[in-house]
Amino acid sequence: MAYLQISELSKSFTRQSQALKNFSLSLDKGQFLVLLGPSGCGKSTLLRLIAGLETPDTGSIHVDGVPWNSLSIQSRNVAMTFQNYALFPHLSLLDNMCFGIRVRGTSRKQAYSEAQYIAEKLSISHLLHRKPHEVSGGERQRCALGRSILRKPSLYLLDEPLSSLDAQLRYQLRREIKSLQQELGATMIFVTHDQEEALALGDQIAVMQNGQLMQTDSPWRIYHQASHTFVASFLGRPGTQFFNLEELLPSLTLNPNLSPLPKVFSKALSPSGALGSSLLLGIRPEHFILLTPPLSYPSTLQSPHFFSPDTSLSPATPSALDPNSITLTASLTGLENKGSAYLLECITGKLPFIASCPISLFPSSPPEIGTRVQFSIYIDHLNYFDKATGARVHL
Amino acid sequence: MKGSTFFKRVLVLSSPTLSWFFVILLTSWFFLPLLWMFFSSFKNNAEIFTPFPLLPSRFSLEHFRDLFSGTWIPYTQQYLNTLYIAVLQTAGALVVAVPAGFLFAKYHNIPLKILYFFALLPLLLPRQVLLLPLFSWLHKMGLLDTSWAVIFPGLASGLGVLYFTYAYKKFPNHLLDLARTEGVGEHHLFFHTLPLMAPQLLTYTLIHFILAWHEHLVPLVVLHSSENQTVSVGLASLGAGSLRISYGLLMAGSFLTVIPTLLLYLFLHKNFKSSLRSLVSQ
Repeated sequence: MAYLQISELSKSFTRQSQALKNFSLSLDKGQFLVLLGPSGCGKSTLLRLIAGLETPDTGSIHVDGVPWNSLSIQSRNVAMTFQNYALFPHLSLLDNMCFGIRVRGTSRKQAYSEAQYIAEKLSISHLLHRKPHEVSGGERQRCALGRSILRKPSLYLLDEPLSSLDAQLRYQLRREIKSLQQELGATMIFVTHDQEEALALGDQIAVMQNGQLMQTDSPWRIYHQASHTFVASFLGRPGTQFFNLEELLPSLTLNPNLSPLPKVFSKALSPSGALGSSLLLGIRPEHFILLTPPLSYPSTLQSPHFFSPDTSLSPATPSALDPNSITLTASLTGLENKGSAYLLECITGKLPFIASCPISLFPSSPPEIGTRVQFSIYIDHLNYFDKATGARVHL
Repeated sequence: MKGSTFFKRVLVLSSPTLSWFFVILLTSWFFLPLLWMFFSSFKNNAEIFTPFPLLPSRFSLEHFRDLFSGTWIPYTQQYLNTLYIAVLQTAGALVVAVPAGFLFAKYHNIPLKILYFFALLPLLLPRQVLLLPLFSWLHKMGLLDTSWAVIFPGLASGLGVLYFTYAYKKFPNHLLDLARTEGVGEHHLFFHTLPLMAPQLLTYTLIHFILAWHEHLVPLVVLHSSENQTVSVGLASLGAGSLRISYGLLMAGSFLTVIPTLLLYLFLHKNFKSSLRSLVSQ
């Protein structure tokens, strides 16, 4: 049995809506689980149910084989960190850190010496005698983390701990959290609506929507092999774009060496196109590889190299297509500068889409609106979903 | 446009000089009677009826001497009675109202809602209505003409419950959740909130102390002997009881009566304003 086993957990606050619907999940000891989803999807409710701050309507929670439903909050031994760095404003950072272990009966002297040790690790030892309002947000959150660590809890629950911090600090602190978690071998559940954070931190990511678990998987699989259109579109900026297969087909050019259609398309479209019309094709913006950059390279320069798994050293050009890719012709209708990449707004046939191209492809000026552009897409990067249910289809 | 000229006029009116003018006007409106009372306590009886000049021709402590001599009313005893009643009643009201406010603000169930309604009912009813049953209860309890007859009814303060319910509604729930997850039992939760409620506690102390100090109706009805009486009733009896009223004596007594509440306000006013503001602002 897994360390944390949640089975069929449901909770509703009002008669009309359920905050959590038949939620099941298991987590091994020492793993970092990120609960990801839009706000109001039930992430925090789940965390509060695990902590014991709410009681579930149905379902069970087991930790290390012990049923937790009947345990009081106090005997669950979880440490929770909150979004608004919950610290007692009248206590110094030191007393805030020691709060939990002091409540549980550790002597003041011992608590202080333990806190001192942890504070040094978190590099807030010089601030311990200050009050929370006298230190920065990052330092407050470090203190809250320190309080959790001191408790040596069986579960760490972190409820959007970084969302009140600025971008730079978030990045720094999330690296610290990850390394702390690995050093302590702690089992952590981290709630966030920030996909970057989720992808960077999680051993496992659980994507939630409307109180339901959509997918639990490794970050890589969540991003590349989403099990549902919601997961595919929620991750990525912008997320996966969906096309009706039969609408997209006219715009596609297939490798002339490969005749007739690539296997996956022939399979999708036969027999008599029935499967094709029920399928959605999901493509991530960054999976559009720009073949004809709308700019003139200096004559001394070759066109940029595009790598594919088997022809990794030879340049891929439109005339010599990789047999594992398809080509799409479109015209450029808009452009957004994202700093490290351009988002190219394109239209093919009547289908608008967005492609994300690294800025390094455009050494001088950005591409001009109205230019015809050609993209290559690896067949492995295409995902298929059922139009009716949104579930992933394996072809 | 008409509207904009009006707006401009308002802007001109709110210029610093003018606002100072109004501030001074309003302050003197409130402060002059106090000042008049203060100086009158040193005037002789004839002088008192000519409010101006404000200053007495000769500062005389005669009224104060008369007041403390006890020939008119047992002022010292009444002063001490009032202090005793106000302090105990305020402390008792806090003991009742703070936990009640915490419960009403942080726990939600039907019995509590019903209790909340009853707790606030005294605010809605005129006090005179409650006086008769109160008198009969106090009589049955044998408390009439003792300080407890005044302290007791004041302990159940609808205003206090209302104040602390709203103060606790502003108390961040995540701090309670934090305390719970850190291992604080549900029954001890309340005590961990108290240090954070210090400004509100002080403010309500001030409010309740002032109300208890100036309480007139209840002592008038439940206290009979003049040595058990409170100052506000005592001073009133000074004015109403005799034909030959010594206004100087009344002024001296009134002035001394105002001092404790004035001092409390001076010490706590910063805190008073900020915690009242926190009740209305988010």
